[in-house]
Amino acid sequence: MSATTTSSLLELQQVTKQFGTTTVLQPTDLQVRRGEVVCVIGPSGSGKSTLLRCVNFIAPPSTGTIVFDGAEYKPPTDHRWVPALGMSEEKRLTRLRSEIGMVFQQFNVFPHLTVRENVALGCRKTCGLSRAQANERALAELTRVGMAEKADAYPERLSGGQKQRVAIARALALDPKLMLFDEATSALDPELVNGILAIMRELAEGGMTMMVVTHEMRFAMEVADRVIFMDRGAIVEEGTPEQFKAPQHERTQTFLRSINHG
Amino acid sequence: MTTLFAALDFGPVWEMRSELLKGIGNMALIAVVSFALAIVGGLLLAGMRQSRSRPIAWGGFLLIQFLRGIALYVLLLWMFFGLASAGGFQFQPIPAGILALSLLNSAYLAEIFRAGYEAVPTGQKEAAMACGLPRRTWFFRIHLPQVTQITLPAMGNVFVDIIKDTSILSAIGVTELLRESQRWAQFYQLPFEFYTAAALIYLAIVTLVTFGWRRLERRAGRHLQTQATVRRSRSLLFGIGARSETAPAP
Amino acid sequence: MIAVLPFAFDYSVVSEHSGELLRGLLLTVEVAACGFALAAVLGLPLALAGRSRTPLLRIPATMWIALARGVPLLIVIFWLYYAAAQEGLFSLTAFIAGMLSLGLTGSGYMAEIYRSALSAVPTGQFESAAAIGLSRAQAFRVVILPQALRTAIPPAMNTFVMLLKGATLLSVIGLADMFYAAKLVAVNEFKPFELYTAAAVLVIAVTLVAAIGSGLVERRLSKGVRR
Ligand SMILES: Nc1ncnc2c1ncn2[C@@H]1O[C@H](COP(=O)(O)OP(=O)(O)O)[C@@H](O)[C@H]1O
Ligand SMILES: [Mg+2]
Repeated sequence: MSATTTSSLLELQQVTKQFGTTTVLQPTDLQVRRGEVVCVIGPSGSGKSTLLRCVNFIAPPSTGTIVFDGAEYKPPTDHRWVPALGMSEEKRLTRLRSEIGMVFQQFNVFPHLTVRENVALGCRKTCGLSRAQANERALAELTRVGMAEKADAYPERLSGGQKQRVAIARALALDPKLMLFDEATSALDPELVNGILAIMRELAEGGMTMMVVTHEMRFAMEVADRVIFMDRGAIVEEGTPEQFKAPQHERTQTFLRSINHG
Repeated sequence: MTTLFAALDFGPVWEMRSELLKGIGNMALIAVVSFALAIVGGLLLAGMRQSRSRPIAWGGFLLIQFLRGIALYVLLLWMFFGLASAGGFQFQPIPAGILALSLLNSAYLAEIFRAGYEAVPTGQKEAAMACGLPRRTWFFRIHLPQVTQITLPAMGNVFVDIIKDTSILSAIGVTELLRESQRWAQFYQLPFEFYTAAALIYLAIVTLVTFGWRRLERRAGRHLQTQATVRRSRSLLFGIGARSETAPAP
Repeated sequence: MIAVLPFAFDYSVVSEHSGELLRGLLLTVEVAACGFALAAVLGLPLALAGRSRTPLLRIPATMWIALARGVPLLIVIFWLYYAAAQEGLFSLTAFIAGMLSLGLTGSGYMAEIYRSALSAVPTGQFESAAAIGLSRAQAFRVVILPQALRTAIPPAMNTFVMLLKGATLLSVIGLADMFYAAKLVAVNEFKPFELYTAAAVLVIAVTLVAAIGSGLVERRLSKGVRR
């Protein structure tokens, strides 16, 4: 555990997560440097999503500290009786979340808003852009992911790949410092996967800091600066893609073998 | 059979149209006010049920279950003849009817609202949070529109039920459509004509409201791909409020 | 609520006439049960006719269901009891008229319940039944219907609760249910509050038990599906 260095954008210190009595995330330390791409791999149920959700406090960690961009964030206190007491804390977390973009496996686009509104809503409410500015911004982001001509369609009419593009545009529109991808291609038909991966690759090459949960090993090997293997709620092994070609840990070996021959 | 229909005399029904119309007016007034109040009550009860405080949540649960078990007619008789005679005061029929209708239906609406609240996928909230939207924005711009969309069909069913149940208010002397029909059926000694007319008028009103409500639903769900139009047009006739009480999963 | 009221509640009137009240309650439950049975039996052919491809079956079934669901129960009751008798069509006792009106109204609701339960069975079930060599009729009887009936049980119990509440209306045509008894006694003894309260408590107890029972059954069945 080193002190926060200026080069590290995100630092997790002894972060844990419990649901009731079950511990889903063991005490975890992790540092992510600016511009780094970290790929998280591991069997299903190993806590990869939970790790990502702790980072942007969608599922606030139970204990530990998260340092993001020099600011410290602790697990929020539960103001059960007087929720108003939690307001300032909530505001701070909302700010944090607007600086971190997240892309989900199930897309989670807003079905009752058009593609453009999906992207523009965040800009208007968090960056304080006017409606016109936000729309302009949304259109720019949509162009970037190749969805500009669908700007006025409702998500229901889109394919899975197109929905995921909208979700990426929505996350990018806030100009985030860190992007979280939680199995962004797992719910897609095989022929649509590469389009999304290409966008992610482009982002990585553009210098975006990224944490990517994925089962696409080829993508991980080519794009990641660092790979993390998780199992049973803990980080078992981490290293460069090079190092992951000959993993040290037996569980990592088993997992990689099962993926490659599965 | 020919003698039967030759004997029918719908003339008096037509003569009494203005009286019947007045009954319809009363019915519409009572139904709309009761529905509005029931929505407010339903939101309150659903809120109680969702409350973080255990006693309040339990109170809400018990109240909803209790109200769901009460028949409107029973409540009316009890309020009107039992309670009033004991308290030494008299309810006005229309306010009493509105009170009973809205009270009982608020319990149904509370269940509908709760089901709708929970039917929105959790991913929607997570996505809203991940976008850095404040809670308020999430609730009003993301959650509420989807809850409305999900609960609208079931709410329509409740509205139709309320319209139909206004007929029960005739028992406490509210001069709505059935009461008027009853009065003139006795006056002219023509129960068949007047009750048939009342039944048809009710059917027409319920069908109209159902059509109107469907349009509302379609407006609210215009972002959704229209479901197979054949099925829809068939269910228009088919389903006078065809859907079940619980909100459908999206 | 009783304790809050600023006067004494006279239990003795209630206990004196408890026999009449209970007999009335039993009659309400009986008529509701008969009406529900009728509705459950009528509903299935109605649902099938409503799904039929020939308009000859579909249109009458559709109209029947629309009528059953669109006309208030109380009007059906009056119509069957007074109107039909006046025209010399038929003359019914209060019990039969009550049972018929509950059954006819309920049949529309039951048809809808069967219909949605049937369409909730995945089409793959029909296909796989065909694949193991069952005829359409066999597939329907052995594979589709049992699954559909299972989904239909909880909403059907809700319909029963609805009919039970509807059955309380039947004192308006002189069915000797507990409100009828309560009314008679109340007039004689001048204790309307006690008697109406007792009658209300009795019927609420029954409907509550039915409502809670349907909730339990629903939870039980859905658990079976998840397992
Ligand atoms: N809201 C929750 N309540 C209880 N347990 C949960 C919840 N979310 C996740 N879990 C549990 O946490 C574990 C890790 O889940 P997750 O982080 O989603 O795994 P992964 O993304 O690696 O597949 C799983 O065993 C899962 O059952
Ligand atoms: Mg996951």
